[in-house]
Amino acid sequence: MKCNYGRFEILFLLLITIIFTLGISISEPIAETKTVNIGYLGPLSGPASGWCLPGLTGVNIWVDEQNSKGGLKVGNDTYKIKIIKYDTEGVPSKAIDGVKKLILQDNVVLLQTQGGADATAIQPFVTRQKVIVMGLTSDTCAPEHPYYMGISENYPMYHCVSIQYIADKYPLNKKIALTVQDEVSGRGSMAWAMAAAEANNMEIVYSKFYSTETTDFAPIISAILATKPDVVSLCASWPEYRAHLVEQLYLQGFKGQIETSEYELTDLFAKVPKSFLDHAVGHYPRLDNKLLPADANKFYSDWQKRYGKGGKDDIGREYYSIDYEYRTQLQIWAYGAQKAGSVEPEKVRNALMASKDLPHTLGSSNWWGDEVFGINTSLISPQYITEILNGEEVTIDKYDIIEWYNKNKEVTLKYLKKYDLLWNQR
Amino acid sequence: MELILQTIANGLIASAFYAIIAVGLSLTFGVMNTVNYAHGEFYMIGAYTVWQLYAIHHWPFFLAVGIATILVGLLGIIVERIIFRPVRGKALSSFIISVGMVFIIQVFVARMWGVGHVKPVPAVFKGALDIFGVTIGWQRVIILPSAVIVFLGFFYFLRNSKWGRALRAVALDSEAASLYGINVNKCAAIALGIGSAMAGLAGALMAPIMSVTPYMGHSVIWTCFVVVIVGGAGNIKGTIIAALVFGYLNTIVSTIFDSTVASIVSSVFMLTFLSIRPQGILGYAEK
Repeated sequence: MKCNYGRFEILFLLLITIIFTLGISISEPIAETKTVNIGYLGPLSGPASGWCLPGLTGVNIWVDEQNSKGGLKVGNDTYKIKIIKYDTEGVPSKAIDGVKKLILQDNVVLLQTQGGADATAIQPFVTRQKVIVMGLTSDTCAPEHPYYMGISENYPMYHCVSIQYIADKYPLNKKIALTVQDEVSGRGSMAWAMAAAEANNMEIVYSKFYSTETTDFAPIISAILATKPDVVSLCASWPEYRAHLVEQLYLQGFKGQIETSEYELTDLFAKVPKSFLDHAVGHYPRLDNKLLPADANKFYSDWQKRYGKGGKDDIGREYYSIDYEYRTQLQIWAYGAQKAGSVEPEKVRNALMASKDLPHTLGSSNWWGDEVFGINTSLISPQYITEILNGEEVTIDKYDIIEWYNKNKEVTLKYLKKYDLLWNQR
Repeated sequence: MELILQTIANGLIASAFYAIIAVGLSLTFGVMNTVNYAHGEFYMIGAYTVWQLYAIHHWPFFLAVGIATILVGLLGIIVERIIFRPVRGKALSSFIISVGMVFIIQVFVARMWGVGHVKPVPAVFKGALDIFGVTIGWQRVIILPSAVIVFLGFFYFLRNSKWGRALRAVALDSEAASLYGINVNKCAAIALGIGSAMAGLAGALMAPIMSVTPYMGHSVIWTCFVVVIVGGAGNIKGTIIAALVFGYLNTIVSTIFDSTVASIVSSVFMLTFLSIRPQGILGYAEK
């Protein structure tokens, strides 16, 4: 083949290429792309899976966004993010197997968990390995769990403000019945809800735990309805059990108000008419609410485009709270890593704990928890109150959990102590 | 008063549910002297069949229930021929083998349809029966006539059909039965087929009100074993009486106290009862 370029042109092109390459090298150090592994450890099956499985949607959106930009820039390095899942089925012994696999084989630098019994079981191992664990809930925060952080939601504290909201806005609803499964997450929600009920002089007509092995919820609801409550709090009932409880409330003719952690509307409306849940009180704002940060609005829009009706990966259900929660953990971790200039867990933890006004999806958040958990590793975000109206979860109000706690400290500590939940009782 | 009536109704439904599953288990044990721990998984397959046919493919509910019952019954016959026949009469061996089957069936179903969120099966009968202040969801009500029809049909079969009489003979003494020309292999296949079909029927009927997951069998099998043992292992009438006892015990204690206490009370009752009457309610004492 005949070359059309002369020697001068070739030399000129070579020179330009060298100058251009050197120019880039001098102005900016070459960022080496590495991969950082993050463990997603939780019940991907079983009755608590509704608190873990849906979170993968938000995680996928965040991870794909970072990786499509070339990776997450931390210090001089750029990291592709890889999520490695492990299904604990909500069984603590399986969580222990999983954490060993994720840390020792997969070298994860962060563990995303739901919190509760699974997260508590893995603490001795993660503390020895010095790997950060981020949970949805704060009930695992404790001085002996220094690497655990309750990040995504104000659980179990938020039950106090939802009961407070009912007392404020529905003062005629004075008789309250509470029930939840008998395990650590359930007990926490019961304690905070009971404290708020007592603080507002509500009459507690029923407060019992049910077994985690329950298959027939009819007798539980029969016993509750015999006490003629105005409000039934299902506290933090596992999503699968909540659907059965709500169905039984409907079938046995309950006409009052319901309070619970969150509402999986697609599942619930398969069992009860939309009108049955009118005025039911929850805690999670829909993220398209303009009161929320722009990032939250954007996430909601991204979720709908990808997983909503007719979306690329249409998931066949409505958006609900868990979708954003694990994504928030990743955002907070990334914030800490970038502040620390490293993905090393110890450095990220120190950077996060030294920070104020952290960028939570629901708004600026701060560390709290010393009196209740013995350590300030619970990240408190703004707390919204929602009501179900015509089949939609609508944001109605906003409360400050820390302010509520400071006003009602005595009664709250009384109930936490009653259920052996204070950090120095464990 | 309303609570008492409601508890009676709740207890009756719970008893009918346990009885349908436990009678199948008891039949298998009585005829084959085989302990089938995978009986709960047959119940699960019944529920999955209804989820697939009724919830996903929108077939009529009762057609889906019928197909689930037949399908699980056929599965029982196949399992008897391939797995249980070589260990017939050896209770411990059959128990160990069936525990293995539990894992195989669970993993198979989990691989096929995933383990995540429960499979939603919409209620066929919306609303509730409201009578004398007692309200029971229609979907739960149908378990009661279904149980009555199944048991009447089953007792008729046992008393009046050739194969029913053969099953009773094999249950009493399989060697003597075979000397009289009864085909024991065929009887065992029929027993496991009918027993499995009952589990499949229960799973199919309950799919809209239970959590359909690969592990749903686990939650019922323990109670059903207790019912079969207390009833007098292999004794059908005893099993039905024990199902009533445990159905009501669980319901009453759950209503008055809570379901954790109910589990403890049921187990303590079983231990106490068996220590006084080891052969169960209607079982024969060993000479």
